[in-house]
Amino acid sequence: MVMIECPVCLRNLDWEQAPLVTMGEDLAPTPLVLPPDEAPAATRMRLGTAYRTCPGRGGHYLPADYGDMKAERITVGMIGNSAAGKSHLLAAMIGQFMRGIRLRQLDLQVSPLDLLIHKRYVQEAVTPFLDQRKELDRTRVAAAEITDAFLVANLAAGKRYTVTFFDVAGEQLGRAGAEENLFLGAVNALIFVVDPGAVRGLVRAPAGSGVNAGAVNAGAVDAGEGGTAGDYTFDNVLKLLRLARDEAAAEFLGVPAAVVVTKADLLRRGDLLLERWLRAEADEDLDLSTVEEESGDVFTYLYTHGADRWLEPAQQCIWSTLHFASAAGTSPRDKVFPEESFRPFRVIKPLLSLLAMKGVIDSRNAAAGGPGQFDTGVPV
Amino acid sequence: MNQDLQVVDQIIISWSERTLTEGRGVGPTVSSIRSKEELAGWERRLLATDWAAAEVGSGVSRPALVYLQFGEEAAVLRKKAVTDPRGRPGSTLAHALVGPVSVLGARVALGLHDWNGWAEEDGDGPDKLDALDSRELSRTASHGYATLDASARNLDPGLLAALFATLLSDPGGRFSFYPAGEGALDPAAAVLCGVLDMFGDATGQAWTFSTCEADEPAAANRPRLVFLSQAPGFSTRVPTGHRVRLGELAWCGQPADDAGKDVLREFGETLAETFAWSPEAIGRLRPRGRVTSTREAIAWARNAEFAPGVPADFGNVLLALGRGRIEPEVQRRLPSTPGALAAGMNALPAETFTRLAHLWGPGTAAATSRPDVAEALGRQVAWRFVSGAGAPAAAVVRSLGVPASAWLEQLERYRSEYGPADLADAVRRVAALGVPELDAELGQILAGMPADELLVLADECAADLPELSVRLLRVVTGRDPLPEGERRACRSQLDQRAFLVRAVERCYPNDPRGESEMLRRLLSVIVVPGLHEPRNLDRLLARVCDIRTAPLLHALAGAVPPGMRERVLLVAGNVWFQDNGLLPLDVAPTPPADVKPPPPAEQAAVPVAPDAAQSHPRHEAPRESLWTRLLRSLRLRRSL
Repeated sequence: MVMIECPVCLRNLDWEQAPLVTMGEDLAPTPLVLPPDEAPAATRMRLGTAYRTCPGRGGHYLPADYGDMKAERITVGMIGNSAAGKSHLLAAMIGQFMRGIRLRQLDLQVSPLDLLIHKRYVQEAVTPFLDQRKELDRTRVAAAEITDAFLVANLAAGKRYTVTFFDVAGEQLGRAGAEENLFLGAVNALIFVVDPGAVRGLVRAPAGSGVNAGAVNAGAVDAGEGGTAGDYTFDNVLKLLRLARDEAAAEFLGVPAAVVVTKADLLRRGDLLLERWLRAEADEDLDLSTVEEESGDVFTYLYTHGADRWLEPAQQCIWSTLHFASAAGTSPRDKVFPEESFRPFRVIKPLLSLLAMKGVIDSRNAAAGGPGQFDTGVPV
Repeated sequence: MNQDLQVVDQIIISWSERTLTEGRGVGPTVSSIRSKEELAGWERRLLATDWAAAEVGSGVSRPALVYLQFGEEAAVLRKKAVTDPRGRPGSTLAHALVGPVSVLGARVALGLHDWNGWAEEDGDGPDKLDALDSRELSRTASHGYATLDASARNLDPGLLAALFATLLSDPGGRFSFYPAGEGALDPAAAVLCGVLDMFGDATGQAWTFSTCEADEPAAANRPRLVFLSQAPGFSTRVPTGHRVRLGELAWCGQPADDAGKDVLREFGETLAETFAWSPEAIGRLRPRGRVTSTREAIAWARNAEFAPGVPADFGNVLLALGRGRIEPEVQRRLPSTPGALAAGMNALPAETFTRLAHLWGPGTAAATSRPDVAEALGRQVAWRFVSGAGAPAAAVVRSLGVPASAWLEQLERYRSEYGPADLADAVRRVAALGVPELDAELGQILAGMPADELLVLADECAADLPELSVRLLRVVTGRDPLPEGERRACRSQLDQRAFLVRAVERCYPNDPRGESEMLRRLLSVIVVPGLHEPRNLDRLLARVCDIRTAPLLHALAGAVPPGMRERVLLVAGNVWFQDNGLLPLDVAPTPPADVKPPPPAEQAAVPVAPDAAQSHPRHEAPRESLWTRLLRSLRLRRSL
């Protein structure tokens, strides 16, 4: 019997016994019955595109490959308030993640775990945002489901991982109820998204525009209107995770976290802690040797700007890195990001850092320009 | 919720930096509810993660109307996608009305589909909301529902038939309907009207719904009927409810044999057709008890009757036959006995005849193929006009070509059922239709009707139906001699109606001889038998001189016995003199000495009757001489 914890509802599934379904041409689920005398190749193909049914919380389907026993399961949760920038960041991140040739530098081979899940996400988020430069619709409050999932192989180490992403509405993450956030119990890697607009004094107003930054930037509050209270979703998620992992009394939460100050293009310029990273070379984002340095700069930057409440994840999670990033590099006008200034930058680095902290990438050999390392605290 | 159960609270849910419940994002931003706990409770319900009813799916361009129940409480929402205050698309603006189920029912929800109180745009939305008076809201909804229901009658019957049959296959089920092509079903609210009208409370569950959703619901806590804006895409959530393409019949219930499926399919067609042509007829087909399972639905379909012994699809069969489907398998669906056929006709709503009229008129294929049905239709229409209950439009009668025999038959039936006393009303209704050839036959029917009522009817019909009026008068004059009581009643009517001079004139336009002859007959039958003494003649002459038409004077001269004629002629001559500016010749009053006074009743019946006196004040002094009155009238005329 192979027991797999459902990443959506935490139910322990007898994987082999969970009903199999396939999605027909009309995308309606249909029970899959494997003919006993079928050729092994055909069975593998059928199973590779099938789903196991979990009866928990109304029922949901999991890719049949999710239960691959030879792969370690990594579940990444995007955490942050409503309109913090989670969805845009994840779309940009996955857009980069799918560029296999770049990632081969890190000995990574990435492929979608399930083609339908990936196709849906690409159609709904990646393509509209990266190719059409459209501002994405707000993420709706809804039952959690897998946003996208990948099979990641570290070719050098000969290891495989299923990397699953969850991106739910910030309103949902802010609710104290465990029932609505059960998926957090399966999350073992976190990306905390810091909305600079929520931090007092972090965001600059466009020069000479007379208009504050918030008015033209999706998801940012008006410049100068931010506060120091932090992001309630950070606190809530950290608390729920401690409860789920039975680490309420522990000094650290045993989950790695990447804290990303997103919408970095909106930050007030001139701060040296920031400038270095905004002016970095385009391919610096694959160089994990600088992660520790960047983390230190971001930590200092936030702390000195009174944003220490946003640093909770870095203090509570036993492994953490901190980053500057911008999903679009610019602000939208009439729901579209201007072509001339649209430039996602430093979006892949937080994910790679997270994967390094999870042991997927050997950070000591992950520098783009040569060997490099950062102290994630993870013994590799 | 407000303590007063007759109050409906309002909540607007939209994106905010800080909602009324202290959150950031989509939540209550304006509300009439002052209690934070209560507001948070509604937020939990309407934005629950399993079915976030207030959320708007991306790609939905039309507002959605949602109706939900939570125990004894209900919520009606109108939600639409808006751009939030930061300019981000795909945000939610939901306006919720919350209150007790007893106030906010499914019909009220549908009736509010076009309510002008819904919040429109976030930026222009209200910054304050008050609770609503439930009675006023119900009135508004009632009007809105009636409008929606009327539009529902124009829905494609094929679509409704498939939908009804699909629902019947699992009456307790939940359904997600998606359009065959692009775009949501615009009239989803109208379709829901049909469902509510048809099923009512028979399924034992509330008809919760949403008229436009982007995603197929995947939660137990979902509305029963959800209309999707597009075919469902891929989802990793197990859908709840049956996924059905609109316009297609889907079997969603317990297994059934082909016969059972056929029964529901045909019944769906019957319901849809019936719904299209008559709300009243729908009421006849509604289930009497609960229909919660496939088996119960099939039983309902099999046993539903339009009337005792009449199949449920009776009206539709008549329509089908009328449209030329006269093949035997259609004809077999008609009631087999004349009694059942008549019962079916009797149960048809008035509007049905409008639809059937041009299909079943004389010479149509249907009427030729089934003359018995055409006759039954004609009889039914005739009966409705005669009885005045559920009568269709007059044009229907003309299209159907109801023969005179049918009218007479039904008038006869009416007389036998209600007695002759009310027949005048029935004749009046029928007469108003102007049915050709009918008046010629009325004499037979009217034979038993009181003569004074015939006079009244003749007077009333004279303007529009002079021929019928003549017939009626002939019926009266043909009853010579009239029984004394009836004669007196007729005299009273003659006096009140100025001897029917005007009516008779209309019956014989430009024909003074005919006019005089009819008046003579009337006077002979009604008046002359009462002229026992010359004094009565004086009174009569005075009255006649007041009216002063030549045909009447001529008729009177012809009607009275020879001994009185000379006097009448003399008075008539004087009238003629006067009319030509000459003084009248002296006419000695009738010597009363050797004649007995008339009986008291007779006195009262002559022109001094209260009514007559009232309408003719000159008769206040009946004993005044004829000449005194004539002179006075001359003076009066000069002074004018």
